[in-house]
Amino acid sequence: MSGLRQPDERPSRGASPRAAACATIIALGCSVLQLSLIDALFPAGPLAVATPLLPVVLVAAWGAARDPVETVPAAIIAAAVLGAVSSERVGWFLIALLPTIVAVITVRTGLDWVPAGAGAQGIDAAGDVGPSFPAAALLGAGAAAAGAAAYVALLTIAGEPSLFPDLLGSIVGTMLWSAGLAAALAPLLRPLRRERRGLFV
Amino acid sequence: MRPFSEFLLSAGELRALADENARLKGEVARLSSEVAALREERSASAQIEELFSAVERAGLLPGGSGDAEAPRIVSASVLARDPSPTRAELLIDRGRAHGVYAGQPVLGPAATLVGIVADASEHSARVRLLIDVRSAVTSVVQGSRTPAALAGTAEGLRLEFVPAGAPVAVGDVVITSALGGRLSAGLLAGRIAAIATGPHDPFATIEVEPLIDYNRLEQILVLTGALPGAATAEAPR
Repeated sequence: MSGLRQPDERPSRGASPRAAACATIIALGCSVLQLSLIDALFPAGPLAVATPLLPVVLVAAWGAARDPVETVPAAIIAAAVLGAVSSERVGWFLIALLPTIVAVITVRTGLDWVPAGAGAQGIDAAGDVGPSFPAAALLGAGAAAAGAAAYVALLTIAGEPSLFPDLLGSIVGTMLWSAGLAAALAPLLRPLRRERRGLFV
Repeated sequence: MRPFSEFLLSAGELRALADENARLKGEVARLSSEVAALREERSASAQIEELFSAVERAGLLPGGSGDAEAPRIVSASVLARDPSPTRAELLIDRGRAHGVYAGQPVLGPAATLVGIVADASEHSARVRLLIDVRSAVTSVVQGSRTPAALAGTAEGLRLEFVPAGAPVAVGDVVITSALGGRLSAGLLAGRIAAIATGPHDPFATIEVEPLIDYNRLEQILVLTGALPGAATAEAPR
């Protein structure tokens, strides 16, 4: 494919501390919103109902638009906030958020959406690095869906594994909500992508 | 035609008016914020007052012979719900410093039992709702006095260990029982919604409808005089 880079043409990647700090602050807000707004909008029964998982959405969308490694501090903060108000340990929330990061890294490593004409640094004539708008949306949605499923599944295993069959409907709904939001958010975050002269370069 | 000096004066006044306008806009924003906060406080106060009235009607308020220094009922605000998918728990803004300890019953609207304090720290506590799958409290069916265990399930509430053929009917009210020494007797807990019995089942399957909306809880009451330090009830597995 013309859009694929050769292995020796990979750009020098490295997480930007400023971008990571920015993602972390947004993740803090997402976690608070998850506990307040989402909780109010989606009344729960004894078990979880299908709700969007905002920290998962952010991690997936940010990872799709920029560098997934930059979302690691964000995941830690989100896990700390969610774990602070839960009987479940903070570590479980962190473990539950990690699959989203792994999913983005895996897909971004396996597939490459750098446009045709990318130079030795992986930067094309327009100065773009990273997936196009549709690719970012697709990658964000896929990672969010996989991450949301893993999130609910892992927390169910941590809490009460016998309830897993009862939560299957919630898992599917949560996957769809999270995927939809990530598909919308990832293109919005694309202006933050790596450029020759761009934000957080 | 106005003289030139008047024109300059008007221009100066316009600037002053613009500044005044900006200042007043800021003032309006600040006052709007204060009004919103006061309305929220009034709403919370009204809810607490309603809770106390219900508790008083239920005869749960301490009498004059009780120790006036030791509060027996503490009002608390719900801070957050547990984000874990398998837990139905609330975080409240009262803890050991306010006399809240694990095992104490928590009441909602109409003096209905909403859960049990599962864990208390210095200034906050976790309340395990009745609908949590780990919850179980001793109860009786009002009227027939049939003893049972009211347990949380994935669907809501269920009355367990009721023998098939026991004198219970749909619509009967379920209240707490003092059996086991963990709870005060007579707290409202739910209403029987459906009864099913298999031909060879020794126990009836009884679904219980909660009397309150667990998602709308903002203010609650903790019966701090009731059995402080009691262990949290765990559902039999």
